[in-house]
Amino acid sequence: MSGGYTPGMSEKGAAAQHAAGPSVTGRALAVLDSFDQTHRRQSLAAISRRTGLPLTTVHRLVHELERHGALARGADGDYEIGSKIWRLGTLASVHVELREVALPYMEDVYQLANDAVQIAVLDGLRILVVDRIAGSRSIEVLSKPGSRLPLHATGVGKVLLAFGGQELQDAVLGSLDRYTDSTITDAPTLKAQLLTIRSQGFAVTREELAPGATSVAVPLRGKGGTVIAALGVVSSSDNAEISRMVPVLQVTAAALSKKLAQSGLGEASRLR
Amino acid sequence: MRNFHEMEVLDRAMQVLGCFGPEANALTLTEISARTGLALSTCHRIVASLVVGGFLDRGDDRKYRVGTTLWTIAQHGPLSDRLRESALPALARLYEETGENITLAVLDNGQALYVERLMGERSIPTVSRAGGHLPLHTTGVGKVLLAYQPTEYIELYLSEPLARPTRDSIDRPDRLRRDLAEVRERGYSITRQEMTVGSGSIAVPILVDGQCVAAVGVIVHLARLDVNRLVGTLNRAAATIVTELGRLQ
Repeated sequence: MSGGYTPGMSEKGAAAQHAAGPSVTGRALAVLDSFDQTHRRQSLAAISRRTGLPLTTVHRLVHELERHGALARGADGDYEIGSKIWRLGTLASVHVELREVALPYMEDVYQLANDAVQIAVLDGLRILVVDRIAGSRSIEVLSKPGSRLPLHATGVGKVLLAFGGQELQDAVLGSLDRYTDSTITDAPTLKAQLLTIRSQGFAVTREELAPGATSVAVPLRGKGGTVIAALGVVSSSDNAEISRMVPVLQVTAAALSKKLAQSGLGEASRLR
Repeated sequence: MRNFHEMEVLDRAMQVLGCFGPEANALTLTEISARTGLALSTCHRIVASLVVGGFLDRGDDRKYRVGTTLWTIAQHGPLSDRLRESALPALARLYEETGENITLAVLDNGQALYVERLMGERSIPTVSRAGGHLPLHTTGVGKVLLAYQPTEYIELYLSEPLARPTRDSIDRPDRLRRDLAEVRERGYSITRQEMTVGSGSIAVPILVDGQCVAAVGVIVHLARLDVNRLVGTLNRAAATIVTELGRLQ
């Protein structure tokens, strides 16, 4: 295995499956992995339920993880991810090599667009949101850093899918979940759209993941021109002028891609 | 007996993760072994289980790095979640307005933990980085974080030896005590070459229900330390962050 983006490996299942094994490390990882977007604060009982580990085991592991600063206990007795994990997270490749480099460029786009700006990478058969800037001026978006969203229903996802390999496209097109009335669930239709995205260099979605939201996205390239991430803007669907953001995104993506290529991103398989 | 052994293994796993740092974000197995003092075979076993869980990634260069799964879990912690998310747009505007280094920090184990840092081509190089720690008494954000702590906390801090990274760092407890009182009185901190020669900083607290939950600051070249202008700009940003934090709750 060469990196965290190997399809399937970083999906929830890996750690959960691991939990059943004899390794204490695996069980501790499963405990940490049970925290996600919708389970940011959990009681011992909830952790036990979600990991399938006995309460006594969870009690012991949680206590130990708290001692190391990997978990922290809130005033209400529930647990949340501790500052040690957060600090370690800032050392990951997605953070150091992509997020930190991309942030100033995302700010530029945010100032111009006044809409939510995000970057995402491929993670198995989904996108992983690496960062987003959104404020009171922009619409409520589903994505937050760390969220995994479907490829075929998001602008950034369609870009990554369009420039992804045949194997990836086959796997994704095999089962297209519906999120709204406008989600494209017909494989030939999506396939045709992916070809267009490849040739025109940007993707558009209209209310395909959530009603009321529209998005445009462009690819970010690393060394050798490989597409390694996608940059997009999410706006309210009554914004008829979102396509005006395409040239802004393309100019930004060109400058950012140059910077990413300089830092060697895309060379190793780590960030693909 | 089994539990004892388990905790020992977990200790070692945390030890392995703990040897990664800002200056060591890619390590070979040999380096991990040297840094932890654990036998190579032990390291190999622990690293392998961390790789399986996605907590470490092994690159083509045979070096290990913090993995994407760990990063993803970290995104669900309170620091990334509420604070960073609420602050980022305001920090971005602050950066646009000043063109200087902008930092956001929280108190973490007697140090300032940098949650966010924005810097551009125009701004002065600094030693702070997101995820990094710096002393409380030598940084603008740190002084704010310390000044708004209870007296017992401040006295405890003052009773420990005070680091002196530059000649201008305040390392005398009585002077620092006076400086912190001034910070509380006027609502912002100033540093002049106390962390890095040639730069100064201003910071203000982010107060929620009277409690200082974070500090936002700007680091500038000493010649550009226009206190009145920067304090006004910082206070507006802090007010926006407080509103955004409230909106999320």
